[in-house]
Amino acid sequence: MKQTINTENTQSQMRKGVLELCTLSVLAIGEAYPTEIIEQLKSSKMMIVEGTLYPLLTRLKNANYLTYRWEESTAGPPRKYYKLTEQGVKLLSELENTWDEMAHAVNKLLKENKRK
Amino acid sequence: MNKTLTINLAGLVFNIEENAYQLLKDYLLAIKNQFNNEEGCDEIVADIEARMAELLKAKTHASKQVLVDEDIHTAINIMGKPTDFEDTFTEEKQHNTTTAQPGNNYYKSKTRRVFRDADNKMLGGVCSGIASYFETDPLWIRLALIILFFGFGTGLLLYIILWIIIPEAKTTAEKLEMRGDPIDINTISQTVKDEAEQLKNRAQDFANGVKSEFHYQRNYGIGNKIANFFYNLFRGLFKVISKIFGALFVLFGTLLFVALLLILFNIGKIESLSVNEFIYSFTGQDFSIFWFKTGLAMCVGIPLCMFVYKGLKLIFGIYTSYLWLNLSAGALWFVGLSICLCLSLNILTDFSDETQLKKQIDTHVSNKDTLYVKAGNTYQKADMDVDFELGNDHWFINNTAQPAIWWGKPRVKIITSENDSVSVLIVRTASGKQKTEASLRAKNINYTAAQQDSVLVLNNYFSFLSKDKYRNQGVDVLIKLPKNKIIYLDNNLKKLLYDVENVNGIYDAEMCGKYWMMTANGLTCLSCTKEELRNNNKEEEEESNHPINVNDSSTNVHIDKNGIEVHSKKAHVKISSDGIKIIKKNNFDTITTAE
Repeated sequence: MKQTINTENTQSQMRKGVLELCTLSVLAIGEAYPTEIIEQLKSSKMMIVEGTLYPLLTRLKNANYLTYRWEESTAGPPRKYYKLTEQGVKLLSELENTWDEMAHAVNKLLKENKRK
Repeated sequence: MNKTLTINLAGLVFNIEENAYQLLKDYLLAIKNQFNNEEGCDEIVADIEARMAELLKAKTHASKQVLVDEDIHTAINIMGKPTDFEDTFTEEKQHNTTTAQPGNNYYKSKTRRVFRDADNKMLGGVCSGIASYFETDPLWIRLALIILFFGFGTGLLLYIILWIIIPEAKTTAEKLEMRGDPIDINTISQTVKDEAEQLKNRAQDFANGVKSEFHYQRNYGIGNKIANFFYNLFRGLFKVISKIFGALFVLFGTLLFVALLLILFNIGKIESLSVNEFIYSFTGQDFSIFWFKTGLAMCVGIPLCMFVYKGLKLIFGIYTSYLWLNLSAGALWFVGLSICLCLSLNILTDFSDETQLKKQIDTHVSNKDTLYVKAGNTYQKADMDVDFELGNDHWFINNTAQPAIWWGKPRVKIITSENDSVSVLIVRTASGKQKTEASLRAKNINYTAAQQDSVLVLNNYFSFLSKDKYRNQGVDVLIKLPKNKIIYLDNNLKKLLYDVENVNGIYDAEMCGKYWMMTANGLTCLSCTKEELRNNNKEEEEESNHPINVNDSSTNVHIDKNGIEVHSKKAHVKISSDGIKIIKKNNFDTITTAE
């Protein structure tokens, strides 16, 4: 199928890459269940809707970056508390480095070429 | 009072209103479809269901135990629509997403629709909208329109039509639809597959014994489901076909529109006469050229615009129609039609009456002399002149003269005279509203023929002033010859002779340069070569080629162009140009007699 570059696609690609990093970063502090992650992401204006997070968590878990345990909840069904695996920690630090480098490089580039 | 259902969502029990239940069910099904191709689909759906349950649980308390539409809406807003989840997908999965089941409030068909893309607009966002519909760069669309703009402004017209008919993408949903699935064979088959899937699901639901009254209502008969399946199939086919037709509409509409503009801007020729001149030759007035063109533009241009408009609507699947647009187009068309009809009727009535003015010139050529007929050179074509065909005749207009002069060819015929003298009858014809007008026009036709001794000079053109307008003017020249009179037709008469009847059946152009005599049967060629006569008589000869056969029990007589053959039991006789040949059959004697 023909691939085209459009704004929407690029933006979604950017967000997708960064969302993984942000989720891992939230979990670096310790265990959390999805709603907590979402709240933190929302307060940093990263998220639009909650539904986006669930497939991401499942994918990260299936790739062995996360594990979870069940915990009973008074407010509803039992919750999944996620935490980073060793691999997850490693991925996080790699992604953090990449992000720093990239953010620096991109900012610099944007600044230099800023239209007057 | 509303009916409620009891459901189990992620292990929690909820009382839910019927409508709200359908909403929730549709939403969860849509999510399931969304992640169908994903690894861990069930887990994702279970997580989301759990979260939904959590959110909905918070909505209920002791004094409000039943979930209503609004609660579901709120929960869905927090969770997001399935279309929003696409953000987390890689591109290749975007095309695998499925369309939703009918009746879903949140997640209507994601079939791509065309919108004006205000985010990337230069003018009205038409080009960028179309570009995103066809998945191309807006630059190409813009370029195409600009090129078309120089093609007599068709680009501008197209742009304005598109601006009117394509709505702007205002809401996020519309913006998503703008980039939704393209309508192609894949999506159609996908739709059909989804429909089959849902059919299966419903059947399963039913089999699982979910037998609330609600389900009795929702489950249509199997016949209905099959009908639905075919409905969807044909709807898909119809869409593709209507798009093809739309493209044809736009293509031909635009081409014809360009042709119309060529006419209106006086480019191009009708029978080598420019459009203005053509109209002028009938109307004889400058202002009526303007009115005629205005009428034509409205009468033909508006249907063409509407044609293009409908075509574009078909292509982009826009089914909204604007009453004011249709009505005003219809009104303008009617005005244009009226203008055209008035002008045409006005001209047509000018052809209603015809007059012939006859003038006989008696010549005094003695019957023994040969009459020489030739054409005089009253007119020779100048560079500035236009020539064109009108009716069956060839015309010239001399525009350098003020006022312009029309030149037409007279028609020369040769007939038998009623008396013993040679005479020439000149008939001038013209049409008009009444006899008087027609005869005035006929009088204005300038044509002369002169005779000097035995030479008759017929002018090669007649003329009239262009202010008389073209009203069927014509001149017939009848040369009346008594019997036994010999006439010589000069070579320069070639184009003037008009259907001159003669015994030899020779065509007009070939009659020139020859001597002819008027006989009792008609004109007979005196100086034609045998070959010319034969050529022209060939057809008649061929007609007589049919052989004649006479048969009886013992003899067979055959007569054809080769001669006569007689076959009998005793002898064989053959008479031909070679002579007479007799073959006796009993003793094989052959007698040949040469001519």
